[in-house]
Amino acid sequence: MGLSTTGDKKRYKVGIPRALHYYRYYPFWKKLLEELDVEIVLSPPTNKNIVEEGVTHGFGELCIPVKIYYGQVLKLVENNPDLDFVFVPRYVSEVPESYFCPKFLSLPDVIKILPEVPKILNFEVNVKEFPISTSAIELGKQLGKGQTASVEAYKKAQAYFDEYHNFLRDGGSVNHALRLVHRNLPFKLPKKEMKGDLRFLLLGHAYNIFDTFINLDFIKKLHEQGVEVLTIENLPEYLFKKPVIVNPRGGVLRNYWQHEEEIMQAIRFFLTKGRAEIDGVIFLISFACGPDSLISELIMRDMKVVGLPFLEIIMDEHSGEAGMMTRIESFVEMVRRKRKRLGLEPRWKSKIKFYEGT
Amino acid sequence: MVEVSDKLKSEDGKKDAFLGIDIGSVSCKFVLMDTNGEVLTSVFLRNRGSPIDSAKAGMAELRDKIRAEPDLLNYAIKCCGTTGSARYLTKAVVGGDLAKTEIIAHAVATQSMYPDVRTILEIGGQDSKIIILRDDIIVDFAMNSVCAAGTGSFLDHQAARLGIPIEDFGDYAVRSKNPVSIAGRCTVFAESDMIHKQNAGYSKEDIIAGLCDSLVRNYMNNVGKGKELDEPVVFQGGVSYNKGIIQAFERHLGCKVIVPKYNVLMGALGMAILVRDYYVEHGRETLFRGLEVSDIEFKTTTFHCGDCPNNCEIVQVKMPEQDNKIIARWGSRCGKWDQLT
Amino acid sequence: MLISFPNMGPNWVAFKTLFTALDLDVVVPDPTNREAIKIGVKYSPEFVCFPFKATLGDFVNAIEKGADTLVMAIDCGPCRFGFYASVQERILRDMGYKDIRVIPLDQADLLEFHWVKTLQEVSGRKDLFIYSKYIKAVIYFLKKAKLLNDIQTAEGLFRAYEHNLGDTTRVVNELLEKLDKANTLVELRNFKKVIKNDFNSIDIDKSKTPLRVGLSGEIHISLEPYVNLDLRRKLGEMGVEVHQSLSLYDWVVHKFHLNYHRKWLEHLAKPYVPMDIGGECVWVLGEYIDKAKAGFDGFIHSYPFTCMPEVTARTIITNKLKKIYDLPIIYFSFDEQSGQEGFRTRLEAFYDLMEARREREIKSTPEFMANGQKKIYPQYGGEFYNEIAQLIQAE
Repeated sequence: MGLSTTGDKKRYKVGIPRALHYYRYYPFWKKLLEELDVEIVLSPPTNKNIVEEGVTHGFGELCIPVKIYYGQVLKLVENNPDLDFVFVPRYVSEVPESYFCPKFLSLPDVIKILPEVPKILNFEVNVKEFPISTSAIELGKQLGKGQTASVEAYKKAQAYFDEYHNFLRDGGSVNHALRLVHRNLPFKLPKKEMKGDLRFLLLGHAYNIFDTFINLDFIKKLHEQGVEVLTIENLPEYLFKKPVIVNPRGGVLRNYWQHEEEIMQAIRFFLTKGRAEIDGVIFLISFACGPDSLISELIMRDMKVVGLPFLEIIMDEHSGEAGMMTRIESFVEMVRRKRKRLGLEPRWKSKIKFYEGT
Repeated sequence: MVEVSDKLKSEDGKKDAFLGIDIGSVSCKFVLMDTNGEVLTSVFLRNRGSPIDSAKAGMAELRDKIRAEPDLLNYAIKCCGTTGSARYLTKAVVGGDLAKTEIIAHAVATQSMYPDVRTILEIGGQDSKIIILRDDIIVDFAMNSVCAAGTGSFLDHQAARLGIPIEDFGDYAVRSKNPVSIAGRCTVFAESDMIHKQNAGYSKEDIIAGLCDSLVRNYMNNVGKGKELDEPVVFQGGVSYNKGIIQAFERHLGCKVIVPKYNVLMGALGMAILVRDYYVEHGRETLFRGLEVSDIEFKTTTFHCGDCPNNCEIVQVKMPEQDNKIIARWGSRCGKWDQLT
Repeated sequence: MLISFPNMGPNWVAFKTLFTALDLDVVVPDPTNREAIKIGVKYSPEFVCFPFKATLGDFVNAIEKGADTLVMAIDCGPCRFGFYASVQERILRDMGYKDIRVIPLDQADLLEFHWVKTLQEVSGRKDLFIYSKYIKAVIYFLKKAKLLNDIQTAEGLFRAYEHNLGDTTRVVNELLEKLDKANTLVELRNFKKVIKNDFNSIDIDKSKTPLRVGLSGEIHISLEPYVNLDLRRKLGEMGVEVHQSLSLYDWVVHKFHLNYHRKWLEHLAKPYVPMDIGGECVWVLGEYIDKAKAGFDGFIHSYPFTCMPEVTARTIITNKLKKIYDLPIIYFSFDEQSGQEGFRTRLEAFYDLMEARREREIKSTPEFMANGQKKIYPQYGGEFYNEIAQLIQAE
């Protein structure tokens, strides 16, 4: 990289494990840390070895993404013995009145007791208690940076992150965008546009959908079947403004898991106005995922009411390729036959319509 | 016939012997041991229909063995202990003096042979355990909780599917050069993955070695999770006959794995040792019914309790010879029927 | 209108009084049983945690007994518990119970007084006159919950000493009946003495020095004997003193921000988990450290299979705390498949493990319980605990 050490001051070397929130916040972290003059090391994409390592260190009842996180951290440490910090953020809540899953809340606590893990770079996001700029200042302190520099870095990172989101909303895929971010390239849609005669909404946590190893490159398989895939990141922002009331009559209960809230909000659109815009919904769940085990039940019941085809795929470290293919193929075939029987045209080039307002 | 056991039981001037019985989920083991801890004779049987039948069958075979060897007639059974998942029922049926869990029994037996043992691996027919010892006492243990993926039944089943006698399983595994990787938290997953690999044309040897690896990995991730496995490591239970598994363990742990001489009898042997110590300490007269237990008739009846919505099914074992005396009763969740009086 | 609520061990007594004090009709579901679990499992999502299935089964049972309004506590994050009420209502609807109402009882922070709304909704009145009844209901509820907590404390101690197996269980069941019938303030005020007298009437062997075990974990699993395979009774009958500070009262007081015992536990757990991540994670860690320092013989952690916060607690204890404090611990994760036999074997083996550990301790420190005096564990439980502990001291 062109950036070399500024002066004789030592540049900290910080490792980021490629797992969990990486798939959601990496552009933000990268910008933020780079603005704070830090050298970033990323762990390699998930592979068999990492999964095995993670499975050895994580308890059987943990979900596979967390086990992969363990594996990624250990790999990172093994590959880079000279790391100053491992970046293990604690995401508590990003929007007031919401939480992340308990496993995210305690992530640094379980990572710091792993063997041979260097110091943990703490970044606690908890807007219930303090704004994110405070988190950035705390982060800066650990790296020996002043308040102004940290806040400045945070602003730049946020701007970059917004740009990234806009790119996704224009139709960029997350994996493509992350690749661009990693190589410091400008956001540009790929020339070859992916088109299919069916359009599916793919639900699930970003770390399930975009970790191509653990989900056996699920999206690519769908593309090969001639299916255009939409993820939550591709949907316009206004869909996510109003909270979903899970319990309509009680009125008290808000969906307090942020990511599940986004899933429900997306679903809400496709259950009502956007009903005709997609042909099916696939929900990718990791085994033992607490939030999804309940949410998928609610979604499944909603889907039955409106008659949208719905496929729930539960994956873990043992998912076999053959079984997955069989399920996808039959699901796609089922939906395609249904469309034919209803006499609907293949979608091919039709652009998805989002109704602004309301 | 009956005199034999009568003599064994009551006559004085004979040497002391102690009987340990281990009735597990797949097989039952009987060990007759003398005061010095030497195994006099042993019986190993596949389980019959119920633990009662197994106990009776085992007793009958033990009696035959004793009769066949004149030396053994100089011994008298002083005390009898039971272990395994059916320990309480067996204790009631044969008249045991002591019932202990198989974890303790295994640990005691292993310690008698390898006093400095620090890790015991045990894989049996339906369950697997790990026992961690430090400074001669058990400090930690675990049993498989999720399913039978890492146990002997699974291997049996796969051997049958591949058309290989289970005895040769280990030899096949040892011959393999590159074990294939087989997924397997669950028997079902492992089996479908195995069929897949078989269809893909891998050799039987490599598949079997892969299966052994997968079983060991599974065991480590399931039972051995979070435990520090220090040397010396002793491996016992039915699966420890399998050379492939032993090698896989050694590969995985990076140290030597010892398989004791009586690898499948360890539970029963441990129980015999425990009961010997119990006898030395308490010196009480034994409750043991004698080897003629195999001729006694036991009747099992069931009824529904009906005192609460659980409506538990209570099972009781009666002895028709003694005016239908109830010798064991179980099945109630609240524990109300557990008392015999 | 017939009100009902899910089971949580003996706490039906307290919940019942909360609604009867408002002059409402209450139907108590049958104690959780096999039939209820079967129904719960059948209609619940496959991978949801076990208390969801158990409470759904209780609800169906209550509906069949005539209930039409079900009250379910909710929380707002971060674990699955907050979703129980809404998902269960949805499931009950789809099962065909169309006019069932599930009323959420928001207990995230009781000082925010959301629960008043629940009481308003349940009683159907909002006028000022009803408020005196609310106060009565809450006082009765808290009093009974406290007394249930006391019964639990005494039960844990006494069972280890009883001569005749089952005496304590009988006394506890009788006390629950009595407490259910005690519906004046005077009776409730004097009830502590009743508890003490009844327990004192049990024939106990004071010379025993039983093993001492701390118990903690997820609250529903820890309190409901059917789902935890009657862990407390089995331990007691093996001759183990059971110390469990977790109870409904403990939880409610905590939610009123007045539980100093829990604050102490939070303080102990702070270096390992600095915040509440749901479930009982933080307090389990605290309890473990606390019990280890107090010289206990063992610790039992029970939770529903795949419970998110408790699995975190388990991870931290195994990887870190166990190595520091070296208190033997055994984990039980319960679901509908938990078998009696393996459970018993593990429990017995754990008992032997603790016994061996104690013997070694006695050998290495001669003054350890040399004069047969049992140490009273001081931080725990307050006044009532100490009174009860006096009853079991050898003369």
